[in-house]
Amino acid sequence: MNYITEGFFQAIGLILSMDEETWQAVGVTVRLTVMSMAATLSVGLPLGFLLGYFDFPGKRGAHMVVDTLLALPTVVVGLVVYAFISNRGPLGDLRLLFTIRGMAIGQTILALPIVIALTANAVECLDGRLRMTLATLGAGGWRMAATSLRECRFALMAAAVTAYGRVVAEVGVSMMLGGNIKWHTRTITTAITLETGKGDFALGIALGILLLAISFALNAGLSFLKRRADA
Amino acid sequence: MKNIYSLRAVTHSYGEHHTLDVESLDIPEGGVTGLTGPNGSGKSTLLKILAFLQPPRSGKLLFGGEPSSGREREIRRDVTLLLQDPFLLRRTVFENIAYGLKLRGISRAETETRVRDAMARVGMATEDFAPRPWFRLSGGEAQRVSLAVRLALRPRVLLLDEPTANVDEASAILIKEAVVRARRDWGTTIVIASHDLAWLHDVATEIVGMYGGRVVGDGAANLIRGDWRIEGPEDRYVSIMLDGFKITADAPQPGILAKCAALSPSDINVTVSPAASPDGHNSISCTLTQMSMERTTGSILCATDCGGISLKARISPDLARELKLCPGMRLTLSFPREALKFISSLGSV
Ligand SMILES: Nc1ncnc2c1ncn2[C@@H]1O[C@H](COP(=O)(O)OP(=O)(O)O)[C@@H](O)[C@H]1O
Ligand SMILES: [Mg+2]
Repeated sequence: MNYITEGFFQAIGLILSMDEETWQAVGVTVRLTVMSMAATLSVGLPLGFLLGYFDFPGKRGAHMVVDTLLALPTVVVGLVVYAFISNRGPLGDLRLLFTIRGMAIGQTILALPIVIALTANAVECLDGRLRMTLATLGAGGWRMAATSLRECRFALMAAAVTAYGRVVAEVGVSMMLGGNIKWHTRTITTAITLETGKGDFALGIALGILLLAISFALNAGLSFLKRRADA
Repeated sequence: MKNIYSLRAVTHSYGEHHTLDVESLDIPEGGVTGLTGPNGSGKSTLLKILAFLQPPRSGKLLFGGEPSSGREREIRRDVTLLLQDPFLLRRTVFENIAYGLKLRGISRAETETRVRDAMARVGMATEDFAPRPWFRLSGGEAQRVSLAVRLALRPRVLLLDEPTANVDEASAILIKEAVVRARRDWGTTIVIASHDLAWLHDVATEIVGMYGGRVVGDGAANLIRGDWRIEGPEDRYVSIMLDGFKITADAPQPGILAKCAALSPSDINVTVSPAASPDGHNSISCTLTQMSMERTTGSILCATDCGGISLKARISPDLARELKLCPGMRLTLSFPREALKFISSLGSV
């Protein structure tokens, strides 16, 4: 048991005297997450809204597909994207393998079902009286859609936070598509995997604490925004 | 007076379930029309049709003297409905009231003025309530904000679905005043569905009664639903009420089931002494519970409790004075057998 507590105190020390290599992994994680989340939200929110708001033939089927993809294993995403972007793959010429952009593609595919499913669900769970009320005020068409989207803004935030959780915590995609290359595509999670494998618990714990700190800062920012929106 | 709405043979159904069948109904422009009737009689359905939120299944619906079909979107700008179960957007009170104005492209300055005015009309101080979020309102306050949302539009037609059902006395009075002022200030046509006959009689210029999806007379009609059975050699229908007294009626018209009989309040004779009833008359004793002035007729409407059922009788103010009526008194109501008419409701036909 002792090595865990020891590791923890060493970790605090490491964070305070962090070397450049580790800061590099933090930087990659932040850049990668921003890219994946931007792509996920700009594609997922509109698709989720369309799925939840409109009735169309095949809607139930689309729901089932999205719900199934929620359980997509990271290594399967890694495998499929690898097949596409490796040199021999159809997108091989784009030279995306072992780059941050290539990793972002994999993470986006991983997070999209979450944002689509939760957005569709939020839109479907809007109070049935909302549409009727908007109609009594003379709203129709896109105006009604825009107001409906705004009405479920808190649920949309929750969708984004959940997707962020999946993106920031995954190892499989980053490992397979990024290759854990020092100075280049090494992220916090792949670094933890590596250090733990080498038996360096202290560095692993230090990196874990940093990862949580980033998430905490993000949620603190969101909760501030939410309070502003409430008032 | 011109009619803003004219309905001819308008029907509606939810799936297989026939809900509404209005043979003919005219609603005068600039008036306050009350809709009354028991739960499920089709009031909300009718209001949604009048608000052009759902098209009738069949029939003719004229708005402003012209057929409405094809003009629904345009008409919806002039007509607004306060739903039975009001709903506020997740925004501040100010933003809720401003929403419909923004849709209509009204300037910021004009919007401020209108929001302030609408809030004053429902008795709400702007400084206190305008910045409040939607969840920091009591039920009565939320209802008044919902009304202010509609008043800010200064609509040509304002439809209200049971606006006083879940509010306290003070809010009910404020809502009544707001309705009267809207009509006076802007000539707004108002249609109100309500159970509260006394409240309705205070504001309405006319009252339409509904039962089982159909329009039945002036809304003051007593509806006697009982366990009607055939009795005696002459095929008379008798219903025995809670107290054990009997009400006798003639057989219904062919095709109508003996389920619910209508009795006009004007057909009821009111006396204070127990009167011996002539043959063919019903005579029952009851307690006077409430008296109200009926603005549409100038008469007094006496609500009575007759062993579990309530009956309303319409009398002249002179008679009320002569009998020195006051609530709590025992009265005798008598009415001829022929005055009871079985009515059909959709679903029982
Ligand atoms: N959305 C709906 N779907 C199915 N049936 C409905 C719906 N709305 C109302 N009804 C039915 O239509 C009838 C009339 O209802 P409603 O118009 O709400 O009456 P009221 O407002 O007088 O209580 C009722 O029998 C009710 O069950
Ligand atoms: Mg109703």
